[in-house]
Amino acid sequence: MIVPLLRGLRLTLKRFFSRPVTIQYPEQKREVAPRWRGVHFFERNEKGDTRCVACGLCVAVCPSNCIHLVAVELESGERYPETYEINVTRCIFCGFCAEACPVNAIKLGKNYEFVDYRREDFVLDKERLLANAPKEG
Amino acid sequence: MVRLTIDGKQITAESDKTILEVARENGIYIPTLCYHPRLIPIGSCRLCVVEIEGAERPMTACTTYVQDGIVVRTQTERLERIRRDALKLILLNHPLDCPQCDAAGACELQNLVFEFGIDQQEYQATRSSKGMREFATPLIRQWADRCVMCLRCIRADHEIARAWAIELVGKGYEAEVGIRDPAACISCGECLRVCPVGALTERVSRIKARPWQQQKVLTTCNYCSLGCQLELNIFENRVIGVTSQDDKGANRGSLCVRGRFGYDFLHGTERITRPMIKGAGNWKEVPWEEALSYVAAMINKVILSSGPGTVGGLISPRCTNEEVYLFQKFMREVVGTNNVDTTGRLCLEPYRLAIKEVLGRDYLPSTLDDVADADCIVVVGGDLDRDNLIAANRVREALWRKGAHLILVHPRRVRLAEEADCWFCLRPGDELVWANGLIHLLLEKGPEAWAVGVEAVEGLDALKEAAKKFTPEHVEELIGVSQELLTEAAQHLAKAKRPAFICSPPFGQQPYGVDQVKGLVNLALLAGALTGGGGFHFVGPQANMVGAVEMGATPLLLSGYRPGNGRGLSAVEMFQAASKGELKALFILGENPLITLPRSLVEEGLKALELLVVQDMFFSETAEQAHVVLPALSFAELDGTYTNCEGRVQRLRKALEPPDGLRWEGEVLSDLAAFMGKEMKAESPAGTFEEIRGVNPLYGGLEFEASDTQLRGGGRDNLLEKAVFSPVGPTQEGQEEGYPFLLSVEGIFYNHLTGSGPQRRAQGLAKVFSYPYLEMSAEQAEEMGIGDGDKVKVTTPWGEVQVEIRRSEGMRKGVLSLYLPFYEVDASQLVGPQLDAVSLVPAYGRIPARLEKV
Repeated sequence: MIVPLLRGLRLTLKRFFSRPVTIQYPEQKREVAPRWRGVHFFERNEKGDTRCVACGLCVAVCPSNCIHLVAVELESGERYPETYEINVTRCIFCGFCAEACPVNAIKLGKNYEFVDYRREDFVLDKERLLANAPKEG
Repeated sequence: MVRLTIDGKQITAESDKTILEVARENGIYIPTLCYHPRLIPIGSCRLCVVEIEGAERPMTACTTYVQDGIVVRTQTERLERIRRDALKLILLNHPLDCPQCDAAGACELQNLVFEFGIDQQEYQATRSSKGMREFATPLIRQWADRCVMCLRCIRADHEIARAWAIELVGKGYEAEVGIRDPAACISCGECLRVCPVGALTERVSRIKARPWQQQKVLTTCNYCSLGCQLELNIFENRVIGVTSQDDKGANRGSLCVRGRFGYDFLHGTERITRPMIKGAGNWKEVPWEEALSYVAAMINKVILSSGPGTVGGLISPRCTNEEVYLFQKFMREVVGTNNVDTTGRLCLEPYRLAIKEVLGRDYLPSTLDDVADADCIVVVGGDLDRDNLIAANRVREALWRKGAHLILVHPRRVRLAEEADCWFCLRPGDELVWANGLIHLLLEKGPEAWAVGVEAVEGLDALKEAAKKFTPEHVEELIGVSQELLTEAAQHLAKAKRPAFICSPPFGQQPYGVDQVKGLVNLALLAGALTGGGGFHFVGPQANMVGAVEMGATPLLLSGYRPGNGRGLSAVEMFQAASKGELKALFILGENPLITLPRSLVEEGLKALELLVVQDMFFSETAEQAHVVLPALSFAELDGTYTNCEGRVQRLRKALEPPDGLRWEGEVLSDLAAFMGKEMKAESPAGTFEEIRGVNPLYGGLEFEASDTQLRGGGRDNLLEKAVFSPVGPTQEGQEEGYPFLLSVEGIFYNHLTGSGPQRRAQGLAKVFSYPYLEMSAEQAEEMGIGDGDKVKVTTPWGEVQVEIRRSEGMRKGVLSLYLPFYEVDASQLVGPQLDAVSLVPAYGRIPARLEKV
């Protein structure tokens, strides 16, 4: 009876001297896969505004119906998303929106840290989507 | 009839049809792009090619007529190849900007490309991008890059609207749709409607949505009385556009500027959403119960102290049949008075009375389809193009497709005048003399010039006697019409087998209005318009003008033109009575009498009232004078029916959710009745229609949710049965001393009381027609030294207004015309309080006036 116990403790003791596998999150952050689908963001156009032309394809393709879009026509004739909201609590992060986007405006970023206290705060509007864009470099 | 075979199917068809039409009727699909059922086919897209046995080359189905014994194949490998290549060549210059294009999802090219499985632009060409640009009207944008050169827009402009505003410019590869004359554009949107791609897009709504995000609700237009069928495109409880279907309604997909672009008032500001009571000069929002119990108590008080005859009701002719029926029922049964009227009656009454006298009936069963088949058309009254475009387009259809003749009576050189064979530039009020002149000439020609069976009609001798003195010389002397022109018009009418007559206000709204219309009905009867001809039509300005009167919103009759017990006060009389203290309470539903009725009289009357209840969508001028204001639903927020000028009973469908707390009129009235201690049931619009069917003999067999066209009053029985010629002599009216002009105040114009004035409720329409103006003869303006845009003061015996002048080339001298619906110029001040003795209609036409430069 004592022998199996000692055998077990030997394994434990051996681990004391091997490299640890645990990542010390949140001090330490893990690099995600290149095709990781994290929190959404908007790409900017040359004017610094969203590239989105409000075509509505992401809304059409979204399987969980979590995108709300109100498209308007500007005086210049361009289409523009007056309201663009993604309800992240409903989102299943399938990435179809990014796939459907004809102008590569909506993308899924690498960020997976998204916590808040209220449900309303999980609705990403245009400004937050723009702010979510990864920093240069 | 011919027999042919299409894809192995034996088909019998009429010989004047094309292969494409016959194939579609038989459910055989042939792809098309440049074809449109309302336009003359040009066979340019080459997608409809079919193979005919024995013919060497494929033929375009849209331009090839069927022949006896031909064998047609629509689906072969060769055809598929030709169609594919044709489509690839159309795609050659098409920018693939579908995500940015409004049409995506409803684009015919997109559908075809998808159908043929083309997934890339195989052929490439360089062409400079033109981007978005201004079009002939500010209500439409043009994207020349997206154009597929089907020429449908140009053909619609030339063939349906006949405005010639756009034209093909450039040659060969450079050819494109260009603007020929922006001033000629009437903003009807016919080009926009037929565009298969996104080369023309709508500009009124800022908000856009894809077809799959929208709901399309088929309903009836609430502007003029033609009752065009249109679809409101709804996205998130907002109307973002109007579309139409080719096979729906009398308009067959066509709409005018008001129907297609005049929807944004639905979301206008200043909408009333809560009942309000005025206390100590301030408005206080109150719950419905409080407002209704207050109104009920006040009405009961008035009834108790001075009798039910001191309560009156005025309802808008834009309310549905159900609302009008319940409103007049409320006035008659709950209050106990016949004082109920509508401004729709002011347009309809002269016409109805004239018909009644000559033909012994209250309405005529002719439809506008008869106009398109007519061979001689007489148009009298308002400017059909501005007021009732779809009717004008039916006239054009008869003119250039069937070779009909047009006789036009109008003081201005309107668009139809350019197309008329005989244009009579008459002063308003001279129509009777003119009609009698034509009757004289027709009678002179003898029975072969008359309608069949007319010789047996009673009163022909009296007519001959009365018309005797209206020789062309005498007519020329009286109204200044050339004898040759009159003789020519009589010639056209005498030869015509199927003449049609169309009249519209202000004809009939002049002094002796009923006599004027009677003169025209006599002429129509004699010429044969009422016996197998194109009919006698009265097209008016308000959507449910006919329905409102037929539901009983008239002081003289009950619903269905049944005689009532005694006569109530008419609209104008109610205000006269109010200023004398004989009317104490007035309930106004959707009407703005300060703008539409003689103003001085209305102001005086409103001040003297003990209780004024105004129920309206917006806070109107009249509402500001009220004691209680109640909110009302818009035409897009309720179910119901309208009766158009032909007698079609058509559905209004609920497209929008009304703002919180707004209620259907039936509930409001039955609650009000309950607060007054009476019972009046009103369950739903459908239930009320059921009740109408039981009460109103004209609506007996009709259905609320009809799948097919339904006309009230049933069939086209013999109109001559009760006909009696009712000759009318000249009326005694000279020019008034000191007033050298004759002014017509026309009630309609483009915005038609939705407020494109300072209220800016109809912003789309305001882009095209934003300010009021007074039209006068250019020649006379020159003589008087008045330039275009100069301010003048118009004075009539009853009031004066300042307004801008617009010179009108070719207009009759001494005639002025002004439009009522612009709120910044109170045209209603100029209208006098005198009423026509028979029809109780104030004179909007032929008002004596003088003009001074400011």
